[in-house]
Amino acid sequence: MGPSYPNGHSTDPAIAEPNFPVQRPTGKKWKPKCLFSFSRLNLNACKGSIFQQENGQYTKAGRFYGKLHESCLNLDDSGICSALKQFESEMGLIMMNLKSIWLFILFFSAVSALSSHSALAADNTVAAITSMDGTVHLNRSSGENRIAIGFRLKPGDILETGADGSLGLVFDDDTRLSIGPDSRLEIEAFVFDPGESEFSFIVRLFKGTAVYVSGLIAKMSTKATKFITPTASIGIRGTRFAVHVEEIKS
Amino acid sequence: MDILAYRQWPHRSAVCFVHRRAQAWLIFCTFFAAIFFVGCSPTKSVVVLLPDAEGRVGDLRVCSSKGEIELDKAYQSVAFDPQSKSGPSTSSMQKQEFVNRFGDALAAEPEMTSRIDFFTLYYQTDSVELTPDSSRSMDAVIASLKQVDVLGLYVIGHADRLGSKRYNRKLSQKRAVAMKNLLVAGGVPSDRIRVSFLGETDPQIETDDEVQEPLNRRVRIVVKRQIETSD
Repeated sequence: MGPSYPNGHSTDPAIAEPNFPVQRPTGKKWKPKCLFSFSRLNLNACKGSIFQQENGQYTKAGRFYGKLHESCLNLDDSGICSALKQFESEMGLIMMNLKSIWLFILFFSAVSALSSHSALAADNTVAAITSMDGTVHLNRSSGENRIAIGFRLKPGDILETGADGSLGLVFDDDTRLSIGPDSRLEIEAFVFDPGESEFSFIVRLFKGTAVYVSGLIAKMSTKATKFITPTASIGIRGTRFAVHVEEIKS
Repeated sequence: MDILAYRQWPHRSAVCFVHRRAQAWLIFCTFFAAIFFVGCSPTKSVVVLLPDAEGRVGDLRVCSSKGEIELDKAYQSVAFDPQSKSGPSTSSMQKQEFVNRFGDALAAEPEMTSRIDFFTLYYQTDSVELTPDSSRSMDAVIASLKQVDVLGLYVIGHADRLGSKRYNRKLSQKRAVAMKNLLVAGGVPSDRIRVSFLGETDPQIETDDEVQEPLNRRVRIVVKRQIETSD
């Protein structure tokens, strides 16, 4: 679980001496920060700063984001690479101290996230395709992209149509949506749970045309419904409308 | 393993640079989703309000960085162009332009098999008692809800912002349950009714906290009805 960390500069013969000294400057300036990415549930998303000594002055030489062991890729100056190695080993030590606590938290958040996820995973589809014409493409993170009439869509799905394409879909709350040619639309969120009083409908049109007819959610909770374009956000109080996102020809 | 990884690190290469930029960009996007669009070619959004299948026209509130606009007439439209200097203004879209823009999307519109309408009934302050006006209209509401075309019934309770959030959540729940009981007593089958409540979070009229607003003390009944097909 998670990457392994160097045991520290002195005990690891593999770590070369940096070609310029990187030391912890006095004062509070030098604060390596390590952020764990809870969404990814691993330990390797970190960020920090590297300081460089010049004429007795410490200046910020670089920042890094990403995995500890690949963080060199993200440095401003590749000259810092070897310095980073030491930085890393220090980070390793810091991490070791924090690791036990974080692992504990991570373990429980992972367990709870996975269990709630698997409960939902049974069927988290929210809309069905009712018509299709021409080139239509589904962009789904799991890679599944063969669609047909009756195919069920999930939040996070992105639909794209070609120059000859169009598509119609009906959500589980009876919201109806259709998109015209050269369009790109994302179902960002959809929650219709009257028992828990939870409602949410967020759709984003990146380009092209769409026609929307409101369903139950828009009538039940005006605040829950949002139709977003790159330049506007439409709040819906139960109605039918059309949106066109067009590129500006300069 | 670590040593190997270390030796493979590209030093001062173009790949390194691109990768770093890409990753920084990604992080930026995650935290500031709005910035995402700056990188894309500029777009303009045109919104047109349409009448629904029964000819009813609702209303829309369209927000952008340049202000907020309400649409409430059929074929009224507004354009949001980030490059225009003046703020957005409404105009009436001509039929030809409308068909040119939306013809294909309109042709793909799913057929209507059901329609949704609603009733709103108002309550007295801090109470599950209807106002006299709303009380008088209950008979008509119940008669309408007993019609055969009803497919589903949703009762949603609301409260105004006088009192704490938690208290108002409870109050809106009590109102919704009281309404369900009224409907059931009037002969509406109870298994058709779903009860929800939103407290003070979804007002009809926006107010400051601790403000009384009779129009926010309400229960809405949302009805899904079958559309009779002519064929």
